[in-house]
Amino acid sequence: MVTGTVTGVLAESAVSLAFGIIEAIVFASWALMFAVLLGILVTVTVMRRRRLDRLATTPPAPSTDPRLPALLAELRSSDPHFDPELLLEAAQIACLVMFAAQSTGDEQVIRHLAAPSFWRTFFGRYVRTQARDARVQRATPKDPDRASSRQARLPVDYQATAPELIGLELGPQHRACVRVSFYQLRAVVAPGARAQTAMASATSLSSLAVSFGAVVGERLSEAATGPSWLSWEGQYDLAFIRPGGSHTDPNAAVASRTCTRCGATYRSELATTCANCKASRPLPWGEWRLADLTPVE
Amino acid sequence: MAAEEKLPLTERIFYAYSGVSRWLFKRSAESRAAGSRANRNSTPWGGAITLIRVVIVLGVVLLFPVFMLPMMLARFALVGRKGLRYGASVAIVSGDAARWGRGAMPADEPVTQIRAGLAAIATRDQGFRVRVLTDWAVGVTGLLCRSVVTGDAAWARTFMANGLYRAHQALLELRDRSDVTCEGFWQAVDATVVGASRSPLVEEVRVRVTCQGWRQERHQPTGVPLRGGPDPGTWSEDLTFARAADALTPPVGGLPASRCPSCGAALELDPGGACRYCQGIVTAGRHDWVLVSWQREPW
Repeated sequence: MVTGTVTGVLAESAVSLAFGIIEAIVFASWALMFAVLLGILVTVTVMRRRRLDRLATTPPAPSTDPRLPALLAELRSSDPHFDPELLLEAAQIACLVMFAAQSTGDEQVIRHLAAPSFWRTFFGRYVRTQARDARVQRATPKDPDRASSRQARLPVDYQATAPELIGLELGPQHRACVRVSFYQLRAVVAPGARAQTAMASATSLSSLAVSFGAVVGERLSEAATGPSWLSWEGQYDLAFIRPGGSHTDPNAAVASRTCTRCGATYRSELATTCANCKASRPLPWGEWRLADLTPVE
Repeated sequence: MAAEEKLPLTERIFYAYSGVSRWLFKRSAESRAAGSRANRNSTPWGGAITLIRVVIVLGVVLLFPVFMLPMMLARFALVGRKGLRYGASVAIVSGDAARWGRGAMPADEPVTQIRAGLAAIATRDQGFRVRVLTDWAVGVTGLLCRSVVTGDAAWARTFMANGLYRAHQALLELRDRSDVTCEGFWQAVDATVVGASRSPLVEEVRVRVTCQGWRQERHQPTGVPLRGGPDPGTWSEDLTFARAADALTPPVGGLPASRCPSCGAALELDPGGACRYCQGIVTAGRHDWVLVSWQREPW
């Protein structure tokens, strides 16, 4: 009887210890999460304020490098087929395929256009993470219960202003800078889509907490499937690089429309290989590759 | 999830938690629905089962940061301080603000500035006529309508610059892959120049067209309407035409007159923008005006 009582007491204390540990972990994780979110919020707010102050006090940088016409003439003398229009095309397409990667998860095209160094930049990492999230969300689960709760992120609209070549550097590596403003709109079709998109763009602790609560609430109440919206708008400088001694192939534009190996026409603008012979598709702008993307302050 | 997708451990932990929570919430909703039917002949165990369910759901909610934090910290480590700096300047917006508050068209330039821009263009190119561009903008709007409604970019080949055409074609493909369709019919009823400029490299003219008609976008698999509706409406679109700073209006009229600006033949272009007769690429803006930007009001 005494043994039974001791065992009972031990079991009771073990259970209470386990609950204590769980309570501590839960409390610590909530506290840490709020601390991290608060830290991010404070840092972003301070940076945003500094940026606004800087913008208010300093005049905007000249948009185009005054040496550009001379540099273009120099480049044309060494590479007679060089056409700046092709770089503007590259910029238009690069912005759109980033949008494609984020909406559909298809990274293949942006990989075809970007230099390896792009993936070490902030936007390279951002696009890769977003693309992975989109692939996970779009994958059709075998379980029909999960399939019904699948979230569709739909690429709805993309608009860009005319891109502008603003800088050129000639050296061991050629570097061209193209400025473009774009606006991209995605629809999110899912139960509780409104709260989910609000979470994705939350800028404060309170808005994040409110939208998280709304996601949980809408899931519990089986909210109807409806669209919500996510947009990304801004002006960016796109840097393109190529090796210093490169020359533009005048046939590249044609080769990007018709496979040079088998003669088949590329039917998709997003194709990176020939559907017929699997040969890699050349880019109309030759060896120029997207290296970096920076927001214009 | 795609079988070949290799997710980091922190992401797998969160997705596992997310899957469990989704399953629990679904079961909870089902049992609530069943409970309301069985309410009339409830058993003594009913209350206890409900209580256990509530405790489990509460537990899942309470444990949220345990599963969320590793993923959050890993992503934060990935983007670092630069991510925060860019986060302060990157404008990602959600909800109605994303749909209606963004993508608004730029304001008109002052009339004096427009006149000066047009005069600078006309001084260099005696054949330049504003009316030709505004009339062309009206025709272009009709072709853009056909292109969007049919999902076929080829309707836009004769007037879009190569970069814009590729982007337009890729967008239509993306929308098609995602089962987003557009129905409707609209046409331009007015066109006005709202911007004109000349730089050492390019000349640009922005034309604002007033459109009338209807349009509706839908996600086909779910039937969810996305934008617009069957009711007629009026809206504006900005069409920006540009050409190289040294280009001159071709003698036979060029692209606005459906003529090749290079050889003067009737306009027939391949998908790359090359004339069927002279093989010259005429949609790069070197020879003639081409559409370089198409901006729509939020709708």
